[in-house]
Amino acid sequence: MRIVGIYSLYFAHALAVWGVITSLIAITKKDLRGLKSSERTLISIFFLTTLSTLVLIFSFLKDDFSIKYVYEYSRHTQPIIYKLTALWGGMDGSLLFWEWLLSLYSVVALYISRRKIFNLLPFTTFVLFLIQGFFLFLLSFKTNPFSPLLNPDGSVVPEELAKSIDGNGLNPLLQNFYMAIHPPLLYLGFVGLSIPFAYLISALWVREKKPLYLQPIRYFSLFSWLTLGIGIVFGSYWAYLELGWGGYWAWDPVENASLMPWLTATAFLHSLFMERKRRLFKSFNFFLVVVTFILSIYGTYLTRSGVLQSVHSFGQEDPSVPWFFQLGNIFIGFMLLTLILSVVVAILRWDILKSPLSIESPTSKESMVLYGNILFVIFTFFVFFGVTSPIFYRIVYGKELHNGEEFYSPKAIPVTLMILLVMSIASVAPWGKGNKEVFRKSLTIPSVVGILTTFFGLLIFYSNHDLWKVVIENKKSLFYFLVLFALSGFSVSVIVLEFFRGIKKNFSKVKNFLKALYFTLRENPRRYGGFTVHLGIIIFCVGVAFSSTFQEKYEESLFVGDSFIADGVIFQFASLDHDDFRTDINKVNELKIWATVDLFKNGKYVGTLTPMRVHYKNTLETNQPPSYEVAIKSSLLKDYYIVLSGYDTNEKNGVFTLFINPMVSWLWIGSLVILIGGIIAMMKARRIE
Amino acid sequence: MKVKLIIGLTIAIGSIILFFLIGSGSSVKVFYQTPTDFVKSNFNNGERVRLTGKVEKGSVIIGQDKLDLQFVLIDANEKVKVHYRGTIPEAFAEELEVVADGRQINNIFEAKELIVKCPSKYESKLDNKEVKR
Repeated sequence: MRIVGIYSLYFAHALAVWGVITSLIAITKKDLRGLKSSERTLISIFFLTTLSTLVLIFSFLKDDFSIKYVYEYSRHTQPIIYKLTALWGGMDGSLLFWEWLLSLYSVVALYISRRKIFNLLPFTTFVLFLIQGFFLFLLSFKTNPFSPLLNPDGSVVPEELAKSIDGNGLNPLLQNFYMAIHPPLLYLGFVGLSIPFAYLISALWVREKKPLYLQPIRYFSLFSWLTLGIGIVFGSYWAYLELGWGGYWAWDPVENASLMPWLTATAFLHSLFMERKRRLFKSFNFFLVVVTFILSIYGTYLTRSGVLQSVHSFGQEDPSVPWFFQLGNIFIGFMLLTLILSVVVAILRWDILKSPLSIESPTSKESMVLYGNILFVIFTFFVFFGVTSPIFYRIVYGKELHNGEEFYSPKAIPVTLMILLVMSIASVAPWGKGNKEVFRKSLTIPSVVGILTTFFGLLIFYSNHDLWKVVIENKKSLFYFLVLFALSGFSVSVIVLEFFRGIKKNFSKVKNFLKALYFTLRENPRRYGGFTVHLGIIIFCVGVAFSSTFQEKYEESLFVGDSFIADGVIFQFASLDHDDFRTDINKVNELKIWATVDLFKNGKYVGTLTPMRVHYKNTLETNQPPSYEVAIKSSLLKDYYIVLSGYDTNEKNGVFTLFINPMVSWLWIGSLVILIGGIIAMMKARRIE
Repeated sequence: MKVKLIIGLTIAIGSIILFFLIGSGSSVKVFYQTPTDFVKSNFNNGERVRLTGKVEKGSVIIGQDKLDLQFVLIDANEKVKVHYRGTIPEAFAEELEVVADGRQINNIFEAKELIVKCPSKYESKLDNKEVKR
């Protein structure tokens, strides 16, 4: 079985190299046979990687521990769902999955361009072969997921013996629904972003005049942007549920690695819109798509190499490997290659890229998108700086720099607020020179609403003692909050007015609110999908602002029967229970210890929370404490988030950490609204009579 | 018209950058240090630092309420006494690599944050110990 997996990878790699040659022939000789061959090669690679992925999945299901990767990330009693998701539990399998997705995307891209944008095909396949060749090279020679299990002395564990042993098991932290689906979503986004890159660079190369190719680029970008975004949110949700520190975002390099391409992809989507509408920003667009692609590779590299100190420590590099064959350096080489290819194409086709900046007014929609995109680039730049500067500090000064929340937040907050400002105005700003009078008029109502929400917010702060105490201590945060209130009021009213106008127009025809809403969306899905996404962004940002500023933390050591009061709620420690510790861990997946905490408000019972600790095979064997399973009582205004930080089952003692996190649910709601908006924006426009 | 446009764009982009610079303020740099570096640099003059080292065997004292922790952080040459109040991290144990974030106050390192360097989110622990690649 293992052999089939290995050889299909080798063969796929050879085909990718062959593909590079045939596509080069197709480009230079304009030979249709070269193109035909490239197409078939691309499809064959897809079948081969599918085969080897299936082999790996099958090996997991069959508990084939003669494969090292399976041994490391699975065991007999692991639930089937986690045997499946163990496919991306480690680096080797993740890269295989990455490559499989790319080969799938490539076939889809091929199918689309064969019918619509035939001219781009040779160069597109060339770029895709290059990328796939890179990953297949890694998979074949560097991170082969089918490597055999080795004894400590380096000899291969015989297959007969491998049948009698049990695997190591998936990291308990990853045995969670959201973590299980978080990597594939991220990868869908990461990988998907290579298609717009391939298309755009090809269009530039062949000097494609017809803008037809922008449409598939838009679909691929929007889809990747959405999945990457959902992936990031699922990751934060997982961190919130599983890590037990009460937060959802730590500015960890791994998180930043996924944030950066998302930011540039957001900018790219906006300038793509300008290119479609106005033939603007051609060079900026190209810059963004290249940066986004390189950042998605950089993201894969960051999470998988040993260059950064982080809570999630990374795979260490073996010092006996020569420098040019170290994983990090292979990645750097590939990124440089991509960069060089892009720069060369950009220089050779500069006559097309250098479209004059034909913006007619600094207050036009075009200008707003330009400002917004500059802000996105600045945002990306300082995140990049934050992630990368420790590497330079180590090389230059020999010191280990730490860039934590206090590095990022002071920069992220003003930039985000300015993005919100530009976003608010952009929705109403006119195209081109526009009509200044109309523009001014359309600003009136939103401005009034913005001022009202600011005062309303100030009033809420002033009337609530706890909130006021926090913001008065930190004047800067008060200022930021007031700006946020003003912009939220402004923006939301702009969006509501737009929807109102659209619905009103249709309502006169159909006399049914829901139908009118549906027709409005259907007639102009891009416009209204965009507004919906913007609405989600506002909800999200308000959630982030409140939850990060007003978190409260309580730590209490209690015996069964004790209670404590927080936020006017009595938390009573009712009982401490556990599974039978004598149970053989080899027969079950987990052993639990759980506390029952009853909540009372104004003398009335309002709910029960059961924070848990869970032992898995590998936590027991390595003498680690059991994993956290936090309990959360969530509402629109606040989450009660309780962790069983310590316990003593003999003395019936429990140590609890309670976080009161205001408005965290707004993050999840905002994300859902963004998702809905994104889906709307992907629909086809339809005239409705 | 062209001149006006350029001035407008410059002001807009300039204010973006200016606001960004003001907003970012002065950020203090925080470094990772080993106990040896830390002692050598005169306890970093009381400045905040992320101290990384191993928890010395037999040095851990946990308070009665399980929210108070004292231990000695070591590397090959030096030792630093660390105090921490709060929830003790899930994976904290003797002889493990930890990061203590805080500063030296009156001959003891007061940690505000304690992070245990777990083997990894992705890599399993046995991987490093028993099975060699």
